[in-house]
Amino acid sequence: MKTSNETDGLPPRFGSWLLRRVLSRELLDEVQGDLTELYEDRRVQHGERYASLHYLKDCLLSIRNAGLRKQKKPQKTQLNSLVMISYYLKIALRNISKDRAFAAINILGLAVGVTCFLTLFLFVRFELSFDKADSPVAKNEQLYRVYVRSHINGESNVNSKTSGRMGATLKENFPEVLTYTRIGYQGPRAFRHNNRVYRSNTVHAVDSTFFDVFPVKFIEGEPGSALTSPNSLVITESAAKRIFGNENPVGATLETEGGRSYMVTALIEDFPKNSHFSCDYLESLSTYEPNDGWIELWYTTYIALKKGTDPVAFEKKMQSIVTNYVAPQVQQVLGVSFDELLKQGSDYAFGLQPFQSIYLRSQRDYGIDLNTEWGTVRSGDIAYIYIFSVVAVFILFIAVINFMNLSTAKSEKRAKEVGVRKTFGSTRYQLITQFISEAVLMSLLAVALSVVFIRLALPGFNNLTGRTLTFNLFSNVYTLPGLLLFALVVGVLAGSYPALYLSQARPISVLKHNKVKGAKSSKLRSSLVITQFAISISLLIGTIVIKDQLHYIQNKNLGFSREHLVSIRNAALLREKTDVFSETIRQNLNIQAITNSSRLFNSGIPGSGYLYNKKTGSDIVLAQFINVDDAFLETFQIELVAGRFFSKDFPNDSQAVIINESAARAFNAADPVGSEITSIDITERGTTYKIIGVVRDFNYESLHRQVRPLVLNLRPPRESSGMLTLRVSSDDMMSTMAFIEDEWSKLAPEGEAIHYSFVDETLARLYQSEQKAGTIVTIFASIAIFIACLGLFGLAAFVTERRTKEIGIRKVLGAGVPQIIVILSREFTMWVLLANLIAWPVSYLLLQRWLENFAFRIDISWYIFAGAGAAALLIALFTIGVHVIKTARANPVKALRYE
Amino acid sequence: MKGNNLGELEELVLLMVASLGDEAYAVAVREELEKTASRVVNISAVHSSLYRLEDKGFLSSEFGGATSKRGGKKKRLFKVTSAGFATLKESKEMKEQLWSNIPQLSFVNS
Repeated sequence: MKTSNETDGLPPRFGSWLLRRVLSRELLDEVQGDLTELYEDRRVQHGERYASLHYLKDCLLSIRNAGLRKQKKPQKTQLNSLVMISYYLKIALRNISKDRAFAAINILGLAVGVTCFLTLFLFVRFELSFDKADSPVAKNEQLYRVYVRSHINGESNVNSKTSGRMGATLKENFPEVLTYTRIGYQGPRAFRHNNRVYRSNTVHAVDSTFFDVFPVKFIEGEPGSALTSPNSLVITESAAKRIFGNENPVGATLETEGGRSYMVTALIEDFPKNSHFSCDYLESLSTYEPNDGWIELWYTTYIALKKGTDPVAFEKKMQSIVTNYVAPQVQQVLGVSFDELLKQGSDYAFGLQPFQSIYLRSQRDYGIDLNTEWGTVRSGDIAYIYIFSVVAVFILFIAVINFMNLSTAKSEKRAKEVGVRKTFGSTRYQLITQFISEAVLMSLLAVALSVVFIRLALPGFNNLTGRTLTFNLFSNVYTLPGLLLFALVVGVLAGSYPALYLSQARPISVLKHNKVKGAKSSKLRSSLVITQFAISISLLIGTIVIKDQLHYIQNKNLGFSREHLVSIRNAALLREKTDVFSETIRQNLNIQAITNSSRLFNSGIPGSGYLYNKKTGSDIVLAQFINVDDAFLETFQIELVAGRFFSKDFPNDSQAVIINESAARAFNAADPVGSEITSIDITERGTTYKIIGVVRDFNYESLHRQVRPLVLNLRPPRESSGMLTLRVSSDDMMSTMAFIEDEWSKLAPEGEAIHYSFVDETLARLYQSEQKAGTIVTIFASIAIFIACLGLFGLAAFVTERRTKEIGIRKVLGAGVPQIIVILSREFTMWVLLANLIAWPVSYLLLQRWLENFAFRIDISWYIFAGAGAAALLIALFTIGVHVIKTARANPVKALRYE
Repeated sequence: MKGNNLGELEELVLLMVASLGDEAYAVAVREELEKTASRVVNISAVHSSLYRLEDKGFLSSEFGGATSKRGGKKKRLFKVTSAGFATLKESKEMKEQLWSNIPQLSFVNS
């Protein structure tokens, strides 16, 4: 024994803690006293260890007394709890109206956050709803589209279209295939009805099995027979309305300007908004001669597999088609065996993509070149789904944090109220209920407000995204309960901290010091604020980088001069009068040049394989080709690197081609001028051209991809894919355009309006989806920062008010206003700086991935981070500034006299 | 409540409180039990008996002084109420009655 001093050594804490937990308050003191006395006796007699052990044993055995003298919970009757609820409500409303600004900040912040979340949620839900329906013959998961992956001489291409023989061949060879259907396109149609012409670019030729795969609803006609006979036409509701008004179109005959005559066999509902494929008319594919080529990829092929077929295994089996059917044709065209091609690293394979993945994942997961899709195919991007989901969750998170933060901060001021309530006999349970019901009331108000907000916000958002989202509380059984549940959860979360924490306050200490002991709340609060700002800063950096990239793209040197270029995209309507039209408008002094060429900048620029300086061989170079005239170079102001451009002085130029630098590199030719290339395209198989010039690479496609090899031919563009491009001078643009329109109306067919557009605007539209995403992210980033600032504003008000006395004392002791400002802002500054440290690496990684979408992209420079950080800091300081300066300048007497 | 019957330990504790007079609190009762009745009982058992007896109305209590040995906590001092004495007496009489019924012989033999 060390000492006999009785006060030395205390009984084990665990025992005392256990007693406190177990025994009723009434008995605790005396029982603990008894046990302590025994402990002391034993300690003196037997030593500390013995005493401690026995003390613990006593404590443990005392658990049996847990039921003794327990206070009974106050009896609650129905009436009483109703009274209490109305009382809680009254107090909550009083509290809200007592500090209206604060309540407004709090409710508004949450409401805006919920609105953003709901808007983005609706968007994401719509995007994910594409092509989810089952087809008449198979479940949705059994439907696939076949695509072609080729890799020839280093040039990869993933094409959404296949050979026209694909479907039938698969069905013949594999019993797993239930059915197949093809979609083809035979060019625009002009239907005549009652002496009026109705033009459509969306007449697709499909197999009679189309309706087995696409769930289309029939209004009139039979799905089974609608497209079996040639020259049948199925018409959608909206197209029928345009042509026939309210008449029933079924059975009518439609003539086209080309002399075709169609029989309308069925009327169908418009394709749903969430179907990747849509068109106005479907004609029977059996009308047209079948195409036997395996190399021409002109049809999209959809197949339905038997239930339980493993798509991966089936994809492998499909490759036998390549060896059995494709290889012989390749050999025939190239004169080289397919095996030899494979040996050189080339590859050719078929792939299956699930029907419902077409809309969102074609490009990102299957690498399908969206340029190969039909013009009417809608495509989304799964990446934006992720981005928007993350943004939605972030904003909701920020708003909820805000709400919790402000509620907590606010409630801390109410410690005294809790003290008084407890003194008057309020139980802890009642206090918890009170705080939580207050928070729930606030969150309910916020959610109600957000329902109003979203109705106001949706039209604008729809405008921006080109969707038609609607919000209806009652359209879905989950909407209303979901919102109420959300309000409840947020309310309980926000209310639980002050409820649990404040309700345990000791009345005496609270009433004496107006402080709850051991306030650790500031740590929680500061981490919440840091998270909030980290998210806001990330979004801010994202906004800047996206804007930067878009700006870069729009101002990048494209290799041609994009200003003052006007393109007439329906010039094909002029047909043989095109030259006359060109000649006529060339007379105008304001028109500096005019060229007739294939359409550029849009999807579907055709490609072919070329052999360099030989007629047969396996080292094919894939290049795209466009048809131009001799004014092309001059009009677009493209630089000529070597040789010469097409010229009227050389009548043999139609047997010559110009290539771009990328093509020269692909041919591996240092000086290609004078060499020959041979096309292996099926329509002009074996045609040999002489290279007479090389032009500088110019971006004839979007900047998402590098400039690819390009071959320019001197030929009139194919009908329906040509355009006239004019270089106009900037003076008096209005009258120039009026002149062009005037000349157009003299030559164009009756009733055909000119469609012209400025090339720089056309180019800008290539980045529309990025532009829109950029705008959306900008909007939501601003909202996130706004909400975070609301929170900071409220928090600053609270913190500075709490430190009023401290500031008073500091001022009395001689601190100046600037020093006080520094002291008050220090904490907030630290928070924002910490938030920066979190936000920087996270946003860097995310944005780097976004930028990988572009072949031409900016580097993310450090000053974007610094700038965003500084901006966030400035915004934060500015937000808290009002309070800080007010507090710093306050008369210390006022602060100190209080009490 | 279990009714007003006394358990064996309860009766002993009641007797101890009665015999301890003014100094009857849990620790003392336990010591006395050990000393006079050679019953080693855990303090928690003493507590439960004491409080139960009080709930039954056989004991009354008031606070006594605190000592530093007790960590500054007060003692609760118990006193037997008149009801308590009545029950003790009743129990004693019942036992005596029973004793008197036992044939004398057995005494001799033991």
